Amino acid sequence: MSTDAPQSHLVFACGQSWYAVPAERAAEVVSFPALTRVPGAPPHLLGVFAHRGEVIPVVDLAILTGGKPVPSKRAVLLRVARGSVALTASKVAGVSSVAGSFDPLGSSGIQLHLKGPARAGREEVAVIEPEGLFEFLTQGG
Amino acid sequence: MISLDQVSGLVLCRAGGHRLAFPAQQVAAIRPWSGGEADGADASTSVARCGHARLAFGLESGGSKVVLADSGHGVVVDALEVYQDALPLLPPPGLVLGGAGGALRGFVSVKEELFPVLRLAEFSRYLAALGEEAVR
Repeated sequence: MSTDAPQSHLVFACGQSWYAVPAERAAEVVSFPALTRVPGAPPHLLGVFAHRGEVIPVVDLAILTGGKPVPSKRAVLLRVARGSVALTASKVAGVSSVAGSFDPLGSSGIQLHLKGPARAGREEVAVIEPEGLFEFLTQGG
Repeated sequence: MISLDQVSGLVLCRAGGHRLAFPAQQVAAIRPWSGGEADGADASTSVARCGHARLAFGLESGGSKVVLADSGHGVVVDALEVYQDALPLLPPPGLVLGGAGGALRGFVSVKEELFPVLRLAEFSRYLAALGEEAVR
């Protein structure tokens, strides 16, 4: 089990589940317009929108983790070396310290890139490992 | 500052409420589609070479027009219009790079709506494969 010192994360919810992303990877919280579907895209890739001259894909974490879609017009924009992705957010709690374990929550699929158990204040959160998530999504999720 | 490629001449299409576009220079003909074949098509344009764009959005096949490439590959859509102005081609984000069977070139913004720009023949082949999967 790996337990790290508290780190600064942006904490947000998608439906009933809370997530945290390292603050340095969370570029901003965006409100997005009606999305453009990408032909052949998987269901969790809701579509894309133009943001400051860049095309941003929007992913619904609830669908990606096997749940029902969570309607939202807001998203947390993540930036990694290979690109950007916006994750839908139904609530944004802000930046806070996250403490606990940072072990993968599962041994395959998306769970490999969600770590915990960890807490941000009173909320139990799954900590997103941005590069791994991006790689996973690039391979079709 | 990144300089963007320009694309001049597009066929803007709609399929089941979704948008897509093809470079006009890849389009040899546009014909009515009547439920199974392209009206007025010659023998080189077989039904097997026409895919339904709606399938790429998880919808039932259908449409009223077919956009045909020189090779005879075609894509069936619901509606279309020709757009002649030059537009910057926004690169596809890394997450969708190689999407739609490698047919996705990028996106254009027309009247504040994004359209995915697709290579016509490649997209037709991708749709044909989707159609075969659907009947299996």
